[in-house]
Amino acid sequence: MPELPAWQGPSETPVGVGIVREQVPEALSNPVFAGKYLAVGDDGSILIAMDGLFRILLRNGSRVSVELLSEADADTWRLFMLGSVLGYLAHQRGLFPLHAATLRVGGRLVAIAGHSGAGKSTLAAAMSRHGHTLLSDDMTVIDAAPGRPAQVFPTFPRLKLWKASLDGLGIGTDGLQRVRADMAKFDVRPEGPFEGAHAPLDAVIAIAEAPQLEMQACAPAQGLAVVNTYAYRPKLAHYLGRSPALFQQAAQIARSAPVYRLNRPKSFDALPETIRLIEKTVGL
Amino acid sequence: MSKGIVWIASYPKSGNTWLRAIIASLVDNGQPPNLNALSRTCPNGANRVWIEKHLQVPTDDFTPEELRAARIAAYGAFAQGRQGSPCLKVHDQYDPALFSEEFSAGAVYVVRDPRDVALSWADHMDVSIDEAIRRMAQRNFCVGQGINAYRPQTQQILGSWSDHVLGWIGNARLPTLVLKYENMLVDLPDAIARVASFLNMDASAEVISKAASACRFARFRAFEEAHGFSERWDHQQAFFRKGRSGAWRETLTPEQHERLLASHRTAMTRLGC
Repeated sequence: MPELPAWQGPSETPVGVGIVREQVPEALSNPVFAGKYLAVGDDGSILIAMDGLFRILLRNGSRVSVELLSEADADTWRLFMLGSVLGYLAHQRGLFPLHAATLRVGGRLVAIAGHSGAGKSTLAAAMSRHGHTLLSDDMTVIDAAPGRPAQVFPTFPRLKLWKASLDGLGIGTDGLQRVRADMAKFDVRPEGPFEGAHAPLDAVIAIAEAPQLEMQACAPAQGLAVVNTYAYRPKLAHYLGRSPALFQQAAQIARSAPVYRLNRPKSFDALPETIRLIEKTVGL
Repeated sequence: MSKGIVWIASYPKSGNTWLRAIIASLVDNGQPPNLNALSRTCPNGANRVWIEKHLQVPTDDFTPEELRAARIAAYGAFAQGRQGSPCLKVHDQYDPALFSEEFSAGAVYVVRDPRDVALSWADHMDVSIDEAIRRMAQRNFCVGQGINAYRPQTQQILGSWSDHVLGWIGNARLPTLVLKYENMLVDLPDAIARVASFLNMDASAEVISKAASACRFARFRAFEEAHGFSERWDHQQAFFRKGRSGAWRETLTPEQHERLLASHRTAMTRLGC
């Protein structure tokens, strides 16, 4: 997959997830949930289907079967694979997918959490241009096993930005790929080295729109609630029978890293000041 | 009524929020509605978070065509699994595939004199009255098109004001209760009783009378002043502005009035405006 950095570790490392092009059934035989796009089997398998484009089947958190249904569009499946499907895979592997972009700010790993449209990618792009290293956009996969600090698994250095955000950030669209044909949303690869190794999470910052810029530190119970709110597709964890585990992992994340709420005006003019406040919060 | 959806439909600025407030009050035995929680009893059917909740997939990278298919699938899933209120708010023009009988039980359509709509719609969109009049005549007019940025709502095709009205009141597929904004101003308890009966809600005369006093315009204004209203746009001074009929007489120029009449005479005559 051209979006992913090449493996830099030892060559004898066992393969964690295998992606195979093969036939994928149209439906699961014993679904506990079956919707238009997503089905979950009683064995924990997950089927993702986009009409006329692709079907992807996830089994055991390790095998990804892909069937392409369109001759003309052989790219869109990767967009979904590296987005929502990665989150489903994390659920299957017992990891915690957080709806957040993660950056290294100085020496600290900071997850910027927010719902769709909250401005995570735009803020992450501005931070990346300000010299901070992007580890993941939109979704951050966290290992929150009990008894040790929560660790972030970096995904890949890519941001998906709408034209309006690029304009606001002063980035031209020349040479940028559209994430899908006819869509004014572009694939942006920040420059600089990519960090592939997992590392402890140092802060979670949930962003919300407000007239005044303000950072609020959350009390422990509130921090847990915030992390829980930004769990990626928690209903899927429910179908997989791992809602209690997800809640415990949210608690583990809130215990190992301080959680903040960042209220900020959603304007490009406010970005520099917002970034300074984030830097200050993590001690930079 | 079956498990199907009841569409709370209107052209924008025609009383949809009023109707949603009435439904919220009826569900709560005539108590004053929390205007910032209307989506509990009547969510917006074009809201992407609502759609995603019913499909369990993010729609961030969906094309407009895929979003339309996702809406239809979400409606089917909602109707099938529904336990609470059957109502969904929509501003789209009537579309037999989007509002299919397969998952619909009916519609409440609220309509307002287009001359008053033009004033309110101009304020809402932050455009001149002339521009609002032009958009109301535009047959392919859309809102929520995410051309260059993420939009929290899917694209909604309104069409012209006339297409909107004639499409909804003339649809032969769904049982439809038509309410006029102007009549609601005159006799609110009657309108509320008709809504309750259409929704098969067992509302006593006392509940209807309480709901009517809880859903007066002055109350909405006071609520917005005290708590703010989540659906107000930044450029608007207030969402609840005048709440009356006939303001156009003082505001529209004769030429603007002529243009509205020329575009919408058939639908206006049909409604008795």
